[in-house]
Amino acid sequence: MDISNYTTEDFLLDSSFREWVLRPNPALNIKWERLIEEHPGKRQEVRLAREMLLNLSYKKHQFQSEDKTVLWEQIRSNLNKSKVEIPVVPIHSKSTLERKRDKGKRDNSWLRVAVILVIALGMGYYLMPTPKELPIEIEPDPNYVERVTPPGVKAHITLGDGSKIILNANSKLTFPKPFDKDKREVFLEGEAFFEIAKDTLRKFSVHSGGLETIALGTSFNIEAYTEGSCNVALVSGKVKVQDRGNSDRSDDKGTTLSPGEMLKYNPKGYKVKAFDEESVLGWTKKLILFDNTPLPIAVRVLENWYGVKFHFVNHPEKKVSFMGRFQDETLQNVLKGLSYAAGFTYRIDADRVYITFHNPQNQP
Amino acid sequence: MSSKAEHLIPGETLSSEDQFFWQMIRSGDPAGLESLYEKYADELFSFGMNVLSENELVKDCIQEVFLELWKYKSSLNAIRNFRLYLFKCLRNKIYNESGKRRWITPIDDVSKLKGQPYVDAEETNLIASQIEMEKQEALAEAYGKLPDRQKEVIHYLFFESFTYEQVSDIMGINVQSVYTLAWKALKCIKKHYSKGFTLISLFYYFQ
Repeated sequence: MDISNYTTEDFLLDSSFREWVLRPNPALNIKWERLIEEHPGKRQEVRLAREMLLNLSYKKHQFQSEDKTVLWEQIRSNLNKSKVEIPVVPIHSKSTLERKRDKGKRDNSWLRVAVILVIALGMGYYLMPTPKELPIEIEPDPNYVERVTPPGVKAHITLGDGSKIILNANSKLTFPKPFDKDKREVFLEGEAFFEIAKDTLRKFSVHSGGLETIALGTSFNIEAYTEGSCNVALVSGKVKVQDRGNSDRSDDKGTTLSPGEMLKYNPKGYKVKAFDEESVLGWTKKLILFDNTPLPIAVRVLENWYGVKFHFVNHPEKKVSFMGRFQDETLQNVLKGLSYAAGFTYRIDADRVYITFHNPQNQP
Repeated sequence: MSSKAEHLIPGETLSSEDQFFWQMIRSGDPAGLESLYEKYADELFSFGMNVLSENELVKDCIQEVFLELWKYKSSLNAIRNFRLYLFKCLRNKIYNESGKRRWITPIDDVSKLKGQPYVDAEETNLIASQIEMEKQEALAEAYGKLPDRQKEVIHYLFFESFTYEQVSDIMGINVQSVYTLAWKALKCIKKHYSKGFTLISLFYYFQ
């Protein structure tokens, strides 16, 4: 780095310099002390830049905590109104109007004329169809399609590019229609199996639970039912998985999966391991497979699969996990199969399932 | 969402907390929105008041920003940087709602300026701190005289610590323009400041 041509302004414009002055750390100290030593002629500029930076201040407006709370209450109560109430009257022109009126006491009729003219021109300015400055990002994009499956229902979706997706129950897939010219991006909540049509010019990426999975032409499964965690299992081809937060960093290459590998991600980190195809993809073939599956996960699977809600009459005394393989079975049969080994009785009442565990002390 | 909006400062760690709140919002849980509000409302309010000193209007705009985030939660794509996103939305809201009167920085009220790192009432430091006060005042005055867009750029870069790319995204101009505006602004401030400052120093020197 060369600072021999730096002016005071250049130092101020250098974000690393600002960082050093405002939030110094050992690495920056070494860097800048060395630079200044090498260019002793720059001391004056550095001193001035430093002084300006430290003394340039702005007015901090305190948001009164009471006001803050009141405003949140307002937001909260307006959340479920279908329409956001946006004031129609431009507030400032109204206030301009009132302010001008107060001043008009002097009774200079020529001034009044002038004021009215100004207002008329001002209004014209507002009524003019000027191109809107923002809402590019907040307007709902009419080109986005959302497919939602309730518990108990799965959906087969074929996208515009020929990719096939099986959306598991209680899941949501959002995608643009048509896809952009240079990329194919979809958003997943819940679980889905993807069979991506080959298109080497447009990468296909799935955003889910904080991860981005990028593919060219392959098939894989993504499960992101739990907030902040996500499992990506690759069946064929190749995918790259990136932490969504880091994908803009050029040094982050993401993790590439090979067929048969599954990446398990949660906010603490991730690991890659081999996966059992039947247990991960069984759901696409009407197969429920429990292999030492912990109670909460088994319950989630069954609730989503059959669209029911589990109620526990009592709690098991020790940790319960389930084993079992059910191909296209009724809920009744699944529960019957599980109940012997896991030691519980069940009662199905419409969309509710009541479970009572046989804890030793409860038994006669 | 435009990809431009998503540049991160090298080394910036993305707030996984914000992403968590966002997941809650997407799942329809208002607690996620409340957490985001709690976290950013103070900053947004202060920023809004710097753009336009109209308390009620700023609050209205903040309300709309959060309501729209909620309303369009399912059609919005991934938001990488919530702080940047919220600043941008609020800025545009205020710009749409307000007329031309923006970035009026009252410079009469230096005592309320943020920081005051050197203002110290001890007698030994009185003169020194007076010099520092004068410096702050001189800078505030120089800043107050800048054209709106230059003020805006300096505000984002120096007071909100946004990067050139982020400022370019917020203001909808290219990075080169951000740089040029900042350079012009600093040149002006320096000119004004070094002039005033020399006089002040001389004044104290001869006392």
